Amino acid sequence: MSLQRILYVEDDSDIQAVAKLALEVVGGFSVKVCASGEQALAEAVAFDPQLILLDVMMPGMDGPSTLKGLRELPELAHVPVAFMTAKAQPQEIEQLVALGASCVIPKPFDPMTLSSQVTRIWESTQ
Amino acid sequence: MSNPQDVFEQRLAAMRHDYARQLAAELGGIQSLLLTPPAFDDRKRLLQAHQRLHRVAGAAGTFGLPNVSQLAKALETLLQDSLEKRAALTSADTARLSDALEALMCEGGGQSEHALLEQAPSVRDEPKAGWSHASGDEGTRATSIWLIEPDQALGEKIAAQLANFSYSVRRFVNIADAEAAERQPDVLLVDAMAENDADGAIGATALAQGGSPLIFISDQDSFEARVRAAQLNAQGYFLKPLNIPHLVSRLEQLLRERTAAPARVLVIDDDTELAEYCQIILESEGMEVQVLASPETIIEEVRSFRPELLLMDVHMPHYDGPDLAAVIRQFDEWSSLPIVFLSAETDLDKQVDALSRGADDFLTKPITAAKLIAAVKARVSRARALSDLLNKDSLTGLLKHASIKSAATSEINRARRAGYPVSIAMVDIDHFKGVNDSYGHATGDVVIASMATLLRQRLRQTDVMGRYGGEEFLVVMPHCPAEAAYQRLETLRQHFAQLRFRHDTTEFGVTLSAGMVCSEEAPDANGDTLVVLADEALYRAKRGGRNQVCCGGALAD
Repeated sequence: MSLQRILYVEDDSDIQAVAKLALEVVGGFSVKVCASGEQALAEAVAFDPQLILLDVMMPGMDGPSTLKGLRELPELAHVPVAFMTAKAQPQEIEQLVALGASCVIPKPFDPMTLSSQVTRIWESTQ
Repeated sequence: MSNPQDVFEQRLAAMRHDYARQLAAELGGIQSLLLTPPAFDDRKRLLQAHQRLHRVAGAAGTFGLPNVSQLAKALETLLQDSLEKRAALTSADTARLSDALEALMCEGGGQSEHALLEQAPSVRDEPKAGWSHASGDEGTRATSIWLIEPDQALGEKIAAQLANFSYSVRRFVNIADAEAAERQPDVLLVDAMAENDADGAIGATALAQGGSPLIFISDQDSFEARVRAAQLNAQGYFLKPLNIPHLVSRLEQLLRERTAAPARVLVIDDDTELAEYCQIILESEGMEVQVLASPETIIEEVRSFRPELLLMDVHMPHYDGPDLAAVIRQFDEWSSLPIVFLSAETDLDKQVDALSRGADDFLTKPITAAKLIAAVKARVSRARALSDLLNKDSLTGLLKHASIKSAATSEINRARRAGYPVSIAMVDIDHFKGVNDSYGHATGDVVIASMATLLRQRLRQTDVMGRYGGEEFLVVMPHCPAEAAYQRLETLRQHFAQLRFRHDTTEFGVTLSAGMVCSEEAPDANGDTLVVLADEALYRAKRGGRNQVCCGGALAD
């Protein structure tokens, strides 16, 4: 089985657009974008993602609370999650991984290599 | 163009360009948050600036501007420290913040916009293949139009005329060919006959489903044909022979709607949870939302955030919503600002009272996300349409004389307060009377409309421009030092000179002259004086032989 469906949770529309483009066109993935943690919790199960990319700082429900909410949904409890953050200090990364994330992708990311980065993360969890 | 990598790179380049364009404005906003007196000393503004810097730090690098990312990150960290400190900032703290802000503005603000655009490949600032010769060239850098016209000769003619307006036109003789093509155009222009062929209608709808607006062109003006176009959700129906300026003005209108700035909404509610709920919902639709928990600062907030709609609770601890609405209505300039109440209030008398005191509408809590979005969008778009009618010139779609003067004054004042440079330019079409006399007023109008279109295309979204007189335009460029403004005007001049206009079988070109001044070159001048200095510089350009750009203020020779 290969990686096909990615759920991407990000509130910034500029970043949404460029990441979606990068993942769809370069990686050939099917990407669903949610603009908030609330939306992700409501719509994630129906999309049945194989990997979830989660922005850390969002208004309303932030990344860690969204992760917690996702983990409470039995269908998604085991789907790997990678955080995306501009606060990529070692200590913060440790905290995020302790929350149950597989990995932290630092922002700003490079749209050219995002897909291969995501593929590697997913493969490492299989 | 079927290689996904090529498609990706082109679209990425376009996104980078868009991002670079709006970045200067975003940084300008952050700068004024930080520098509005008392500078660096308002916790709420520092918090907002911190959040916005965090976004820039996370995004700019992705859009090919790593230096901006790093400098934003540095300033964000300093702000974080200041916010955590809680005690008053020392002068050393503010000096560090000022330095970091200045470094960021130098890198990403108006000053180095040219360098920015070099880093982030430009969509609009490169010479275009389609400028002066009528190729059906599939340039990816201008607004792309797909023309589906079975009559090849006619298609060529239409494409040639549209190329005058710097659109890149790709021609197809039938819908099937267009369906097979890669990518999506910005606008679809479809001949009604092509649409009538076999599966044409389904094809046209399917094509338009990609999100491109659809416009029909036809030599038949029948009710049935128009209804058919309406059913296919066409945004326009133009009869042949085409009136190109009218078509262009519709195209511009469609494109403007698609790239309209996000609506700004101010939410005033003591219930922070509800306020945040509204904020999240409206922001998820791409709107800019600020929440005001204490109504005492409403006047300052409306003045600085300039919302296009107020969403307000009826009952708040110290002030009633209707009282606040009445306060807003005391200011002439906010007399048409839409005010919508959001409240659990079901008491009819209370609602009538609120409406009579300046509110526009009531939304009853609890409200669904869809209804909130629809209500806010409809109000904002009607308010915008109304303000356009009042303030914009019908031929050019730019601001009218009175509006551009007041917009110029307020831009200049804002720049003075925040301490960034602003450049003012007067642009005038050369020998315009001759154009009208030789080719008639209809052709003259085409020249003026083209000038306006070009101004919109070549300047930034944050620039303010208006029709100052008959063939004279006033442009205000915030965050733009003299050198950059001169370069922009020079580019504008060159491109305008390359445009070819037609009257019957005659083809002709027109030139422009411009006079400009930067606030840095005239530190004591107020808004009116700057306009006068720009006008004097324009006069020198005219006297110096026209078709040139002259500078005023300290740079005047």
